Amino acid sequence: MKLGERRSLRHLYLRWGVMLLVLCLILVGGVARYYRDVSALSPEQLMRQRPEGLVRVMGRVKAGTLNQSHEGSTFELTGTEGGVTSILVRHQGKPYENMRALKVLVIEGEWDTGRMALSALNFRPLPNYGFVTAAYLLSMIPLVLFLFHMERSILLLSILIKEEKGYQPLGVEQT
Amino acid sequence: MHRLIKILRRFEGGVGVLAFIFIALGLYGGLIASPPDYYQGEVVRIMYIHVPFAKGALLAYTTLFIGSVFYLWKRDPVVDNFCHAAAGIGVFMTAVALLTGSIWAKPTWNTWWTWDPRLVSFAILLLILIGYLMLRTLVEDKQKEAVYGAVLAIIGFVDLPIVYFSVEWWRSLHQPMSISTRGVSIAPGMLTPLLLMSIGISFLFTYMVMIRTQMLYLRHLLGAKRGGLISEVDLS
Repeated sequence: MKLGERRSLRHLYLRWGVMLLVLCLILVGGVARYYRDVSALSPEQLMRQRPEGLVRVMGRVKAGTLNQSHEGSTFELTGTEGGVTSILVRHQGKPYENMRALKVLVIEGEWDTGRMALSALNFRPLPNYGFVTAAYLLSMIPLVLFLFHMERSILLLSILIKEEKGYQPLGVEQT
Repeated sequence: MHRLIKILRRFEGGVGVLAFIFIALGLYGGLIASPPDYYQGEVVRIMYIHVPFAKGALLAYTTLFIGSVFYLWKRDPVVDNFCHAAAGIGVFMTAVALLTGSIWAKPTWNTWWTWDPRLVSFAILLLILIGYLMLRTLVEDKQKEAVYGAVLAIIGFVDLPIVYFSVEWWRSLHQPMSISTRGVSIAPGMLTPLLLMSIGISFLFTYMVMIRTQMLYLRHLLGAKRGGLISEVDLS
């Protein structure tokens, strides 16, 4: 392989390295955003960890515990897969439209360890990020491989064509 | 070297850079900056990849159709390489659009697949493109292979308006067009990354066609140098 061809191949790998690095940075940003704005604790994890300040909890509204009045609402939240642990949730103001028995909710609020109750401030969308991750990975990984294969093929074919001396009829052995 | 190959080599770098910039910005907007949907939640982010790839698939077939008409008129083997390249990339883009659509449908419609007019017509598009590639491997004569492929691509083009207007013509589970002559029915915070990704994937498709056409041309050139049908390749 000549010096120019080696340089072309090195340039290809370098370019792809830079592109993968930028895509990895976007991926890391996406994961960081998931942990910052999307991921939620279960009531069991909340009771175990007892975090300070603003928390995000995902759980199911326990049947028969919802009390609604003009001043606000209270209900108990259990794990989405059932379980015995439940936490008390207090919400002031207009009831959220999905606040119904057996509905899965993601609640952002202040956790009061002394009273063992969550003061709900916001209701967030369900963190169904797994589908998003699957869709992006299943489209981006084959795309990157497909593109890399084509670019590398062009370089290798160009090298092979240059190395091919001349016309040789098929089936005729060179001596 | 063929004139078309010279043009492709001249512009491929610029088109590739544009595709990369737009896709990087679109991915940042779609995954990090844009808000979740009120009803769909985070799943709405699949739209930023599903819609651009679906549009890319339609662009690929339109390119294949125009290229096939041009080939039947001029009989230029490099134009045939161009059509062959567009079909291969079309298969990839159609498959990605169907796959991401299916992943989006599970949490939204509670099913991976439904016999909806848009979905069925899009799956038929994939079958036509796979059929095109299979036909090309079955015929031994290179010129006949190109002509048969072009004729199939022209006949198959009838599926394209069906895909596009299926959500208007029939009662469909698939949502109608978000951007049409009736206006734009999408929030500005979501529209920007969607447009960035759509432009990026269009540039990416152009770049991929440029690269794949050269690859197919070089394969034929190598075949000719090794004693294949030299008359089919422009060696000048």
